[in-house]
Amino acid sequence: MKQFLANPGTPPPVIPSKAEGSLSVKSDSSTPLRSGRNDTHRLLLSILILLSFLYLLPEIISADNLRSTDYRIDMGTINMTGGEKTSDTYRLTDTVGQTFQGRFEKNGYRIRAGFQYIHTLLPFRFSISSINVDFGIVTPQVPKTANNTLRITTGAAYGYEVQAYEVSSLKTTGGDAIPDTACDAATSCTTTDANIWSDATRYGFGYNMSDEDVNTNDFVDGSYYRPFANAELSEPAVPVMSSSGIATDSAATVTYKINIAPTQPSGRYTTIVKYLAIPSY
Amino acid sequence: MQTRNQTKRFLDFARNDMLLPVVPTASPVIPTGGRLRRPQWRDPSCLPAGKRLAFRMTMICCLLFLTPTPASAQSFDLSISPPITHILIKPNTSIIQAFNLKNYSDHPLTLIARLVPFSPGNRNGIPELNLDSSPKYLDYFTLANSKIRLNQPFTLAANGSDQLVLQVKFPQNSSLADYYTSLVVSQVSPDLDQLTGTQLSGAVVSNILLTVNLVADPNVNLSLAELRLDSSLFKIGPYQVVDTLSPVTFSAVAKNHSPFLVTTSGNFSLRLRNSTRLTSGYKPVYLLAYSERSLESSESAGFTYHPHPFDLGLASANFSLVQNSASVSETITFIIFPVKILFSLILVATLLTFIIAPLVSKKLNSSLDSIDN
Repeated sequence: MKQFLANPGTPPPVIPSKAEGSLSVKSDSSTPLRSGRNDTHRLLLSILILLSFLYLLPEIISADNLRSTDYRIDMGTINMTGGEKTSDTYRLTDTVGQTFQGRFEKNGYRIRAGFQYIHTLLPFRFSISSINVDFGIVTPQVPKTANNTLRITTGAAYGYEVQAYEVSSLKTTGGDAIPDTACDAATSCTTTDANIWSDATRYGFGYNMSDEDVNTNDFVDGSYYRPFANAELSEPAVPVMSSSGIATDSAATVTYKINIAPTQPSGRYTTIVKYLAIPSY
Repeated sequence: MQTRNQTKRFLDFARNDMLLPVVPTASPVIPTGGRLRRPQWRDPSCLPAGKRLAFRMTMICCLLFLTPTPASAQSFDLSISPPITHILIKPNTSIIQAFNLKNYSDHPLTLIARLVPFSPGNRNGIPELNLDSSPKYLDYFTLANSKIRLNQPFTLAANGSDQLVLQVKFPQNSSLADYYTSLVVSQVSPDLDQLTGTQLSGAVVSNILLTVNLVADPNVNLSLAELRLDSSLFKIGPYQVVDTLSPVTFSAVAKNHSPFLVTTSGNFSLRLRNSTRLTSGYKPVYLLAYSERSLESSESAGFTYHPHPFDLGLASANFSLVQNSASVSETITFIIFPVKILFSLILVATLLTFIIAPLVSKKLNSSLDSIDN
């Protein structure tokens, strides 16, 4: 470090020049050259130290979440002892002393977390592979599809349901809308009842479900579609995936389909489709 | 695109104003009035070894800071734990429950946490969320976090986790009842007019079953609302008939007539000719106030009995539900009979009697006739 610091006692550095070969430049420490060089060194050093500090700074700790380097609520309940107890002969997850009336009388509370057959600390996890549905440029009477994957792990819950709804039909800010699909004329569909949509002259926006934990009695194959429940019309969210038992990384594919009429005004059509992952109680 | 521009700007800046390696200038290095000309300083090779090291480290650090992260499609990947909590609490008692959130995606998520009431939904325990309802009792739930508030957006860092610390305190004069509430943590979506197409948004839910009561085990009134033999072939009088070659499957639905939830508990047993052939308990699921719930066997086989081929006779399946210190039970009596075997035998006998026997007889007669001739 010392070599970067200005030291009047040390000889000035030798600076090679590629243009003219080696050239020794002697100057006094008091000269502007030496001063400018030291300034640059200091600047470099400062940047280096600053960046090092930025990298090495510890993560900011706050008491916000009842978490610090010393403690964190892991079991989830304050003033309770609990967690997982194991021995060679048993494995049990619960909270201690909850089964006794006396305990409740004394403390005034009792808490049970998670389904008792499963490790209570396993999280309930839900993912959507991509939150943007890109149809690209849509041509009238040429249906376009896009898809993504929903995944779920029930963790400490026994059973689940994923429900979906759209906040409105696909609309421009001017109010032009792409209607939700009603499927083919001979095989009409509703928000809860999928049906065949293969006619290129039937327009709208809808979705198909396939793979795990999907109601295959409803979504029989890839030609079966439903419109999303529309919150603007006060339609309740509908289940798109469900299981009455444990799910571990169950994955379902959602295929979104759009088909527009030649009379559809051009513009930017937008909506938001919301998915709620709900564990069983 | 923005990151690319940033990097480009940085590189331009570095080339022009910092000591990035550049093509050595042809101009000689001549001190001018004690000052070095700028081009000479732009060549790091003219620095002493120590300074070159400092220069390189600085460059590496800067590049590390400004290296763009790999571009990937935006995703939603969030977990909540625990997904279900039963809180039994006396009025005027305070309890704190922490809910762990983890963002598994490689970008921050803007989330919003809110509490909504729910009512018992279907018989599989899926709640019916009342997303637009905001009853008064929700005021008794507060978040103890200093920075995160209910109904206000907060950010969960990429691959980060956080806790929602929920405090519950019902006042002394609260009604003794069950309060079913869901903690909904949903992704905040941009405004519709900022979108360019269809955007998806995810939410995870944790169910809170809150009972405000003075006793831990209140009196409950349960019944078996539905008891069904799913594999019945036909009925003879009051008895359903099942076949010995097919599994015999039952289903049962419990009903809670009380204002407080209970955990399902009890036994299923199947008896044939005074001997017990099958027993199992129930999975301890919550049966909410004034609701119905399908009972589930604690055994993987469920409520299914596989008869032996020679099982025959009157059998009974009994479902009992424990409520407080007593229990309620219902029984289905049915007949196990080798229907398929019997029908097969009858069919074979019919074939023998009416088709094969006449043919054989006819052939035999013709043979005898030919011998006679």
